[in-house]
Amino acid sequence: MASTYPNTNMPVPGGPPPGTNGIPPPPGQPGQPRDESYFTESRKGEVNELRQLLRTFGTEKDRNRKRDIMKKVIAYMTLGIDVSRLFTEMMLAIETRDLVVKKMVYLFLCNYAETHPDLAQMCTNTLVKDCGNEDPMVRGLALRALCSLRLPQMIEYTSEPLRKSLQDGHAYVRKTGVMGILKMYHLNKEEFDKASFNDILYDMLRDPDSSVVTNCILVLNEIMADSGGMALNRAVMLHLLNRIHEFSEFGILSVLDLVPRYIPANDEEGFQIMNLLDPVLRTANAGAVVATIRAFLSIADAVGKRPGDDRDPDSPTVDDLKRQVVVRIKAPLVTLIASSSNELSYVLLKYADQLIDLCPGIFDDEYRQFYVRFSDPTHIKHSKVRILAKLANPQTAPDIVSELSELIATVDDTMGRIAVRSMASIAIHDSGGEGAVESIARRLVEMLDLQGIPHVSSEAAVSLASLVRRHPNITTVISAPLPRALKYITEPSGKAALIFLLGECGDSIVEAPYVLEKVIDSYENITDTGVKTALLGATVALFFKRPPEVQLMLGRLLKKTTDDVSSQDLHDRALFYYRLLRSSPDPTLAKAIDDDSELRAALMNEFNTLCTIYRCRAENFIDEENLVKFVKMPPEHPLPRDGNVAPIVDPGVNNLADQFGNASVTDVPAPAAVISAPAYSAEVDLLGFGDDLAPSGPPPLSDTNAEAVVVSALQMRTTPTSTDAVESSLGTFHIFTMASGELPTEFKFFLYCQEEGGGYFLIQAVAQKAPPSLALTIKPHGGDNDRNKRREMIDQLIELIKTSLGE
Amino acid sequence: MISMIMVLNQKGEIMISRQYRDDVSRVAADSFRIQVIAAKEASSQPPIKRIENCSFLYTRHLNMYFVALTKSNVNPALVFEYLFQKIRVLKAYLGEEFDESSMRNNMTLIYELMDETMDFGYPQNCAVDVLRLYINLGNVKPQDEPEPEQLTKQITGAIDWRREGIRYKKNEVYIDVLESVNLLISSSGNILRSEVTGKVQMNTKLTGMPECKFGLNDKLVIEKESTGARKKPGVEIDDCTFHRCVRLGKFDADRTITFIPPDGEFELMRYRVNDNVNLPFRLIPAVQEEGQTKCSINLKVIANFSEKLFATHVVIKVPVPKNTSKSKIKNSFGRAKYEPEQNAIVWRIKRFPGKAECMLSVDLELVRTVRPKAWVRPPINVEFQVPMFTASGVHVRFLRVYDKSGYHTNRWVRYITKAGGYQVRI
Repeated sequence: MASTYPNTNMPVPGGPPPGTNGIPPPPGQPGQPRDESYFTESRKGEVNELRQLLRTFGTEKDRNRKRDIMKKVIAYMTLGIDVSRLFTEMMLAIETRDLVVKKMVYLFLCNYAETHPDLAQMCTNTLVKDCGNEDPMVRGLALRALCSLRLPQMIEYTSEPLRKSLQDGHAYVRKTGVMGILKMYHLNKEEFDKASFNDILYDMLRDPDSSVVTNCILVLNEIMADSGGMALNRAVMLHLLNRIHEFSEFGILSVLDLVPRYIPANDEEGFQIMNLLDPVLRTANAGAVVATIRAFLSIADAVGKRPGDDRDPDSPTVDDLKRQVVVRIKAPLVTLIASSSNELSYVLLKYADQLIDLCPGIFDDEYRQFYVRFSDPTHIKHSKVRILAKLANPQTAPDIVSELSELIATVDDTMGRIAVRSMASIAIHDSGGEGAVESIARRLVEMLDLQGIPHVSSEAAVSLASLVRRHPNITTVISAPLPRALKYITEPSGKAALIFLLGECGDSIVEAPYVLEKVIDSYENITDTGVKTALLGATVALFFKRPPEVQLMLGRLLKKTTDDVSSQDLHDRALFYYRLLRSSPDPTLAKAIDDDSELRAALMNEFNTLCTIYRCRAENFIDEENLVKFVKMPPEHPLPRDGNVAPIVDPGVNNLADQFGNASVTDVPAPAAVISAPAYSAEVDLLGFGDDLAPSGPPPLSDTNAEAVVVSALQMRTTPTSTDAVESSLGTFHIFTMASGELPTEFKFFLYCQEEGGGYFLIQAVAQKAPPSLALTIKPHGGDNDRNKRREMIDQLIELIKTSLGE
Repeated sequence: MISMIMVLNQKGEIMISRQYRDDVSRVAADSFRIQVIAAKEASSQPPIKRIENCSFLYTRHLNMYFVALTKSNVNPALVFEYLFQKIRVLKAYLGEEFDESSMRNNMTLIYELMDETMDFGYPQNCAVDVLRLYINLGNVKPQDEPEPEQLTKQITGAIDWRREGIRYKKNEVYIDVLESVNLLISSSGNILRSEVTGKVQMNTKLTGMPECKFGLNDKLVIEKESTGARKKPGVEIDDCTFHRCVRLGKFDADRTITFIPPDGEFELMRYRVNDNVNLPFRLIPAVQEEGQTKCSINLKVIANFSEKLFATHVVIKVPVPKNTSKSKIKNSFGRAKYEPEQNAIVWRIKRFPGKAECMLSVDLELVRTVRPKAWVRPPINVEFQVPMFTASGVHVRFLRVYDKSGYHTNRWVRYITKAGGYQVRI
């Protein structure tokens, strides 16, 4: 029997006797089913057998059997069995045309290179040779393997193939090469500095292939982490943004993550970027959506007006803009929460929570979305209930409170507690409108009597205690059942809260001192320090309300507590009260208000990272070497009032302009062409090293010598049917559209046209749907300076636009 | 960036692990096993766990844990999207229900996929169709192997969801509109929440690189198109998201959905409708507790959809107190019985015709308990499927396929409405 197995696998002495199924599973992998093809028991003998097999590898003809041998080796490796003894044999197999075998050898190599550096060094030549293979796939794979060896002494071999790969004709090799640079950086920083890859990487941001660009951004961000991430200027940012629709699902994130670090040159550019990114909110990738939200918020931060700013009084403030952003992203976020998997919902709920803190009130009307579903996992239920409390306003509070009270009696104890706490927090923040505080207090009082569910009654007591601190006037509502409740609430926290309440409501509860006296007399039975402390505090409080009845028992209590050595805190506190009372019975209590606005602001800066999930700053949970503080790039081009407006090409707009190109009459002036041509064509210096090459887009909106003409509330007979219709009609008058959109209540158009003298007019048109009316803002730029003539032109323009809009 | 991806089985043993960075080791799997898997906490704890400055982000497929380890401050949504994408890729290769043994049998393939979808902790190419082009060891039938030249172009091209040169004899598109209704009704009969989340799934078998245009009865579009007299009511779609093949700029400009579809099955869009939901079933419960030992429950169920349709797989769970000893059930349709392990009367109706009404009446006898504890009254839960019915009223108006060769396309549309969380409190 035993002879069928190699004798190295004989059962240990004293183990079960060898039998049909007496083979003990090898250590380290208990319960491995025996019938699995590659994961049968590992034995030293088998490693030797494998070596035998590998030796036949060279002569083996069948491709599949070759692969099988390799698979066996890799299977052992996965199990954590040391098969490094096969290194030499494996290296012989590297010379193969079969990609699958090659990949497995590379995997083996990368896994054991660290422990066998000298052996690994032997195969570098083969790898370097493979880097020059005719098949781009092999080149890429070999390069990846070469860079993943993690051997500092190999740097000299890697830097040359790396450099070559960056100029490879195939994007797959280039993209692998870019990642290789990062691996080299982590291996040996000095060698890396010598190689000076940085400039090449910046150049490669212009690569025609988006996956190469993605990797460049990622790599640069990591290499430059010490100086706050990849250096970013306007030209680079705009170049990337203009190409954003080319990027893959995950690649788009790398670009979006750059946006928060960029300060737009001026307000218009900021808004243009937002318009450009708006479609991303509709992608199904939650990561991209959240990254867009973060980008929006940061732009709002940069563009919005701050107090003390001497800008145009009409321009929106930071807070206004942020609110607008949150309003815009609300629907996509809610959809994602409702339709995503549990894991993503959890993450997104945390984000929603933070956004609600940022802009209270905005999510209020969606409160039903945060109702708990029976099938939700517990942690999602908890998050939802916490959020629900923040959504209360006078309209929604009754619904929310009754929803919360439904949850109190669920099987999940924590859930019940959170529901009670959430309910109390509505009252504490007074967000439920008139009468809400009192009705919630009544509900909480009812809960005190829920003897069947001890954790709820205890939690209710704790909540009432916090409620009384905030609204002292509710003591009359809640005082009656307190003495009764003290008998059956057993949880320490609840008991402590009740005792506190007895102290606070002492003037409306007649028997308060006598209830407390009983507790004081059984002081020795109290084990929890919290209860003792509460008792001390409550008795002192009551003493000030009803001195004659309490004086004696306070004395007894002070004696007991100062003698109590179980808690330093309690002891000190008792002494403190004692001395305070001895000097003068008029203690002033300092109230500290918990203010976490600073933390919130810091968290907002790190939105869309783990910080939001853990609700603490990155320093607190990330090791120093992994901590990256991305910094905003200084706007090295202040570009305030006279610079060129950013030439961002929105794909949507691009399309429209193309349509014009086909439909327009022959003598169209230049501007139409400017819009439809990609702002940065491949020949143009993409990185903006020559600023003079900046293309001539529509002229800047802000011109000092021109004054805007504002026409508001023009009566209209009808409203336009669609933006397309208006745009084509405007097109026949040679008025062109930069951007347009339809909102539920209005249409917006941003138009421009050129007069004969070469001057421009920039027009913003807002058409209200009901009642039909039109507001126009027209800014002339350049051209004739004769006021009357200009006024005439503007009047003509207004007529034209009115006609186009459906008059 | 992600430092390591591991796949653990139910016992917490590493099945597959791929280390992308040096800052974590396989030992970390132990702490995950002890703190998450062994603690049996995985279902109630958040999917992100921090153990000594190392964050574990995990999700499950069947009984396997897919865990991403990181020590840096990552974007968690990105990591989860990657893990899901990874599972999707594995499903494409190993079949929808791939399990431990199929993972183990294909682990070289999985290593290949691990390397191709992520490099040094950053997601790379995760599109199934492109991966299939050059990684074809698994169940995926090896397709005619393209020239290397063309291949790398595909791997990194702008349209990474479809390859060129696809050919079908018959050009067909299957469209499935799947909706799930979420409903919560309070014990007083008020609708607390009613909402439909829907998705449009497609299975395309189309030749070449066709351009598709897709239209739903979206209120905004319909209002724009129809003028004056013959206005058909449209559905107000609160919000929608799309597969990445859809041209979003175009949608934002005029709400048309245009795209070049991936080959085979994919999810074109998801949407959400809050208003004017047609609830397929109406439930009218009446519960009476008579003293401590008796309780009676009456339930009337009315199907609110057309007579031509019928619902299938209707399961209505009526909760009963834990101390129920005897139950007397009378019902007009289907089969109902008391299932003590669920603490509920489970009423199954295989086929529920439209506009029909059913009654269930239950008399319960309860055992006296030493310490009477109030019955928490969980909600009545309903499961069902109604084919060819949409609770939101959404329907497909058209799907146009344009290709250079101008071939004819057959289109098939199906609708199914399912219960998401369909609950009535009692």
